[in-house]
Amino acid sequence: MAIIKMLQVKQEKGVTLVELLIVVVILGILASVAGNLLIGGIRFWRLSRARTEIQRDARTCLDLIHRELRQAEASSIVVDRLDDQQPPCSQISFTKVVTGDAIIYSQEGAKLSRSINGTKNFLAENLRHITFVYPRTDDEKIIAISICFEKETYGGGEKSLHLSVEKVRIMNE
Amino acid sequence: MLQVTGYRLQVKKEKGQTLLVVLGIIIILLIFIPALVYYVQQEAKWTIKGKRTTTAFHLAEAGIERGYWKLTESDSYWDIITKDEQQIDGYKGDSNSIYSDLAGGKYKINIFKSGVEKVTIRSQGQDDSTQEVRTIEAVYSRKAIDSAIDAESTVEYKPGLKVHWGPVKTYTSIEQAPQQYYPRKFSKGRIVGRDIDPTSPNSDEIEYWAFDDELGQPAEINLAYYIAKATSSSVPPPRKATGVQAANASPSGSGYFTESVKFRQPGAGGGAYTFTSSTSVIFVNGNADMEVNTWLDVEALIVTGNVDFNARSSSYAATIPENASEEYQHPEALATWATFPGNGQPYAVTNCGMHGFLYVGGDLKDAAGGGKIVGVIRVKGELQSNTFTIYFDQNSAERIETQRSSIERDSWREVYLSW
Repeated sequence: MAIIKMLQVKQEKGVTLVELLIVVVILGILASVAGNLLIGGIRFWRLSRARTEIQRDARTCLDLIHRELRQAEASSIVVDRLDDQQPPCSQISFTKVVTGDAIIYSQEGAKLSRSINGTKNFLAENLRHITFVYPRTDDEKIIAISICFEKETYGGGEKSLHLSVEKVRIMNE
Repeated sequence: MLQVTGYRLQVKKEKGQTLLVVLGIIIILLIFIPALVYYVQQEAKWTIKGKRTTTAFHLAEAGIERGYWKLTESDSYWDIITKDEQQIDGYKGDSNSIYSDLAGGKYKINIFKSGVEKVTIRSQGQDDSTQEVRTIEAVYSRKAIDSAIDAESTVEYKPGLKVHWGPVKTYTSIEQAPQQYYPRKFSKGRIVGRDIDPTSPNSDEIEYWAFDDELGQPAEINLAYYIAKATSSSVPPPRKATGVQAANASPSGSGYFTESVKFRQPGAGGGAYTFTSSTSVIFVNGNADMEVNTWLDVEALIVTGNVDFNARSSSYAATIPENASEEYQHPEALATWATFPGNGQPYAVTNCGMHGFLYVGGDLKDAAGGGKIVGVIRVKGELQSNTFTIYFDQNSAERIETQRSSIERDSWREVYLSW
């Protein structure tokens, strides 16, 4: 009985200094770890989001270019660049079969533009480069497209990059 | 006392460790899991979307292939569509034209006439999981002969060879410099006097196109069609190649001659051979000698061997093709074009020997010189005519029967149509 009574008394008194110190130390460790985890988590979140966005842009742009380029007249294709400020081979112009629509895809700084019969709109931002090349000199009906998107994630330091390369077979002479 | 105290401290220590681990795990989960879920969700969404549209597209492509092979299965299918303006069962774009032999969905095929000697294959692919539809339209044409001279071998472009209203095409080369700067000349090899160096440029874009790979392969003439047409034609027989007897025809009285012929009436003192029937075909299984006084106005004269073409006995009221002026765009040719009344206008050709399609399986020459034809010449061997004149006839060209192997794709495109 005496032992039980003594235990009850001790519990009611609260914590000792040693226990308190241990708690403080634990909380301190937790706070420091959580802070790092939080910062890391935010960075990871931003990186994932940036990567997702540029992957979406890359896929959408490639899909659109692929669809239209397949319908081009091979003899009408011209690979060039918009102006001296743009990378080489960063513009492709062609005529779609049957409809005769004049299509131009070109890099304008960090933007990708699409022009149809002179009416231009911008498809995507964060473009690092787009390059159109003939992978085979003996076949004018194959075009390789290399597209690279880049987006800053935080602090101007870390960047997310996405590169896609695709070969397109032109279906018309 | 000591035991109790030790027991109490041990219990508290274990509780603290659990709390630390649990808190750590919760923080990690709270921070990373949403980001991962977001990333995976987006990735899955785009992947599935891409797969569905790709499946529909590949099904549509399969339909195009199936339609093409159906067209090439028989010459009659092309004629059913283009001439009879009918459709093939199973390829009408109806419920009987849906195929489910490929995994992932189905495709529907519609083959129909879309112009003179043009057929469109429209194929729709549908993904089973989302009902997404993609449609491809491909237009095919049977390679036709659209030139005044269509030569598989070399052309000796002698000074007296004059070609009007339609181009000259050779799938080998032109080995003698043409003196006239009309009509347009297309050659898969060199053109002596214009361009003998394969290095580009190989054309002046006006009068000559040398080393022109776009010519592709020559159209294959449907000889079976012409044999059938000749056997059903009623044609007076010319002479055998030697002697005065009538050449053998099979069946007798038909236009299918089983030996070489000379176009002159049979019998001693037989007169000039003339025959006019724009729907008849004369098929000569051998050589043909066309004398000066010969006149033929037929759908086609098919000669499997050599032809000596000297005929120039009649006048023919020709019609200048609508785009004939294209052949005279070179400055040196303008004066010649000025002698004609213009595109689409009538023009009387005098001293003419034949109107129609002339097919020569061997070489073509005119030993006596002066032969003249309104029509189209297809020559497999060499063309070595001296003084020879050809006026291109659009109507004769459009009636030439080529084989199914000559079907080529003109255009391919995606269209947006519902199922």
